[in-house]
Amino acid sequence: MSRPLSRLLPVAFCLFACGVAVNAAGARFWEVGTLADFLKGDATSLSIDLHGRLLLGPSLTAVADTDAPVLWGAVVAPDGTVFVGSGNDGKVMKVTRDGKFSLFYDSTELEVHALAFAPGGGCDVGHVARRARLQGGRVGQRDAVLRSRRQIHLGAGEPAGWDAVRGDRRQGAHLQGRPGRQGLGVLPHEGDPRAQHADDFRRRSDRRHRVSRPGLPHQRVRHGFLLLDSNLQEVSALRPGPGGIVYAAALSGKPSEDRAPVVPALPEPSRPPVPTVTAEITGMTVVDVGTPTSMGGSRDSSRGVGKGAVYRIQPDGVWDIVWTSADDTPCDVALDRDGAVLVATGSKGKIYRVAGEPSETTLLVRAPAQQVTSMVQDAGGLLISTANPGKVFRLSATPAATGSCESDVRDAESVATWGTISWRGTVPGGGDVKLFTRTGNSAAPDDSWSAWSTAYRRGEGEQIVSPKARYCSGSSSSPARAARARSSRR
Amino acid sequence: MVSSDAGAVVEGESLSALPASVLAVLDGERSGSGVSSLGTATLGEWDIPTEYAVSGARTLTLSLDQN
Repeated sequence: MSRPLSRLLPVAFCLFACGVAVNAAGARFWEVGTLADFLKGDATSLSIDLHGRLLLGPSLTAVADTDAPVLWGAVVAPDGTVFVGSGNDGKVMKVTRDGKFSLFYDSTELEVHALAFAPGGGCDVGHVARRARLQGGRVGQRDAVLRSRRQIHLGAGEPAGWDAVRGDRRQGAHLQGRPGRQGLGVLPHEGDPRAQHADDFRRRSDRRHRVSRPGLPHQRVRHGFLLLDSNLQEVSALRPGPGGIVYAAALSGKPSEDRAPVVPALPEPSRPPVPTVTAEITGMTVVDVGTPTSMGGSRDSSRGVGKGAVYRIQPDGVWDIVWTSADDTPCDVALDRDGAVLVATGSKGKIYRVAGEPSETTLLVRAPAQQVTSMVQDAGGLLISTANPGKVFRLSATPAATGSCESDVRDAESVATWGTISWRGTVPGGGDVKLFTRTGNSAAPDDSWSAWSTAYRRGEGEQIVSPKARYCSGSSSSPARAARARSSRR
Repeated sequence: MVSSDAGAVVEGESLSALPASVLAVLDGERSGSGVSSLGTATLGEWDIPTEYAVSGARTLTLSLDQN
């Protein structure tokens, strides 16, 4: 990318929308004003920060569209060639710097989970073998595979060893996540004196995930200093950062059942009461978003780390959580050129950006896939690989021309007259905001719902024109005059 | 010998005891491809030759404690 992501979004506006519905039970109001509110819907090409501000997100350019349902991981060669591993056909594909896409290696296995460059050339391939656990192999040449008998990780391999975390980039060991129940350690290359130590470490049985520094060559890894004992099931990615910091993404398939949350209860953003609405079924609210929490992407961070979290481990072992979510599971972690943490997640293909101190989370972009499985930087910027479907995209520094956001369905609990819709915010010159509504009597929007309404443009409020119904959802869109901004809500 | 552990059957092949991250991705495929869930992982398999024809089955539940 020619510009860092933090500066590619000059257009911003706050949008606080309010809808009101009246039925026999009285008037009800809905408002949308925070990141958590917006995350309940679907945003396209929009970034949403912790304060609920909507910005045009970075545009996503398709680099490769594969037939594979899953691309598990990617790695960038020194010459800029990108290799991606796929499933369920166990292939390694190559994307050259000029965008040409081709098959590099076709294994006999089902899934190529992890790729890492080996010292002296070649590539390590981690895969799920048929009728076997995770295994590793090394691809020295296209047609040559040296299968290792030792098991290997699913996590993305890093072409640098643990020593790189301390600033001493040294070949010979890979810093890799070992998901599962046996913890996480360093998996050195064959012949490395630390290999046995890593094996010792892997034999540890612990149903919770741990991150540990390896011992020195003459030490056993099991005696390494424990850095982090999370209450999640699996560490899905590790990323060394500047100054010896290590970022670890962890996830859980289900909430931890036997351990107390590690995140202290955090106050919800303060909100003043919603003003009273007149009997004429008109209403408008101004929402003051109070001090946001430092952790985004979570509907209720006070309950713990939810489905996933990203830990920041300092060189002295002190760690904190910089990101957590009750809904999204982290698949990979990367750093952008400003040093902000990017978190690739599933199951809605979201990428979060965490920056600042205390850290604040922004929904950076949503990819058109269920999972963003890996992120790698090359000379042209950030490349992401996805699963369901398996594609490769490049995040452009150029903002998308338009963006939209569709709300979740609002339930009036009986057939209701939908009153007014309003929004409040700042739209930069050249920007445009349009709101739309549709209503229906099935809980999920389908063909029985009304068509989208004509656009509402007045922020002070307009009468909803969609027909009486129990359910309502809203959307925004608006290619702005100068292809600037747009958003939605209700 | 089997244990209760989540996995998936992909293209007719059993992948047992998969981590949550992998299961989440494979779950996304189930609607459109040959991926189905697997609830057990095989810990070991043995063939015991006999001179008799054997019928019937019995399942023994063992509690294993790792030292």
